Formats: sequence, C-alpha cells, structure tokens
Amino acid sequence: MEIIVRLDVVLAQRKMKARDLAEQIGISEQNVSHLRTGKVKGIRFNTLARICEVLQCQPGDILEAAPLVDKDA
Amino acid sequence: MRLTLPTVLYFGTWTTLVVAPVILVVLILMGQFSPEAIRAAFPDVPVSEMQSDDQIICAGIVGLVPWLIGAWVLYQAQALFALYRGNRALTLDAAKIIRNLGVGMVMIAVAQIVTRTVQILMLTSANVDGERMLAVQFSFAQVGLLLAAGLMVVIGRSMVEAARAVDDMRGFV
Repeated sequence: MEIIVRLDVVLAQRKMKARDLAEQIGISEQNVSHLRTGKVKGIRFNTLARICEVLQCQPGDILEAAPLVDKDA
Repeated sequence: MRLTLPTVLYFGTWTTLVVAPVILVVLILMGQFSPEAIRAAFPDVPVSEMQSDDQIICAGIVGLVPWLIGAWVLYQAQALFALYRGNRALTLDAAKIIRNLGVGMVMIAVAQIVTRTVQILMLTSANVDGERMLAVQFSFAQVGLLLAAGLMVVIGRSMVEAARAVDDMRGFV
C-alpha cells in the first residue's frame, strides 16, 4: 500500500490557492508544494489538523491508501 | 578566505599531519632510534649486552604505534574542522567523526600502556632467567585521556542519534 495525497483535489473543490492555504496554516508555500506532490516522508498531526480546519474536511479527504503500483511492470 | 577558528584548526591539523613524518625522519637521521638512544630512553630497564641491536630497534619502533593512531586521530580532526568550516557541524558525518575521535583517543591511551609493556618485554627478552621484566604502568595523564576519550565517545554516539533523528524529521511537514 502507498499513501496518496489528495490535497490538490480538495483545494480545487474549495477553490483555494496553495499560497492561501500555506498562509492560513502557517507553513511555507514550498512545504505545501512538497505535500501536494507527495515529496514528503510524513505529515505531523498538528499540520494535518490545521489543514482540515482550514479546508473544513476530514483527514481521509486528503490522504488515501492505495495498492502499490509496480512501475517496472 | 576568512580567518575563523575552524579554518585555523583545519590548517593547523593539516600542517601537523605533514610536519610529523618529516620530524620522524629527522629524529631517525639524528640517531634517536639507534640502540644506544633506545637504551637511554629506558634507564630503569636492565637491557642485557646479549640483546641484539635489531631487537632493540624493533622495541623502539613499537613505541611509534600510539603516534600512528595519533596521526589517524589528527586526520579525523581535520575532517571535522573541514565540516565546521562548511557550516556542516550538526550533520551525521560530523557526529560520526566526533565518535571516531573518541574511539581514537581511547586507542591512544590503551596503546600507550600496552606498547610500553611490550617494549620492556622485548628489551629484556635476552636477559638471563630472573632478570626479564614484565611491567604495566600508566600515569594520571593516561587515565585523564581515557576519561576524556570515553566522554567524547558518549557525546559522539548521542550526536549520531540526534543527527539521525533530525534527518528523519527533515522529511516531515
């Protein structure tokens, strides 16, 4: 299984820019960008809680567990 | 180039690393490793006239072991100062080098005690029965070095753990 970040989808649904989210949750725009592209090892609970608070959603709306796709296949 | 403390220490250690072998060669040329000089360095050890010069010179060369370990410690130190110069003091590499420095210092202290024992044993090996010596001696300086080295190993290990934790946290947002 792998964890897929669906932040882009939720941001589009809320019509919110990544820059505005970064400002409201108090992390850098670069970190939000890393999060959107899945280039992070993990997300702290308090960061996740602030994102959910700002986007009015549940953690499950942002993160999704999906079967690992074998890229070599 | 700014003359900061890490820069001074970096070039200081490199200068010592380069100069030390030159001094060793000069000492050899000056006869400090001759059988007479080595006998004189052990005034309390009764060295038999039967003892071969080769054996005495070998005993003198054994005394270089702590200095060789010291050269390795200096090499580690220059690597640490190089990291400090590059503002990479709080990295895993620096932590591992600090741990190596501590291990090296422990090895120097132990080697100082062991080599002296081996040297005395070699120098008196040709003595008649009852006049051979086996002596283990250590001074307060070596005990102090061991304590400082042990402390450095502990600090190094803690820093390795801390640096790994920081590396782990780096990928979190």
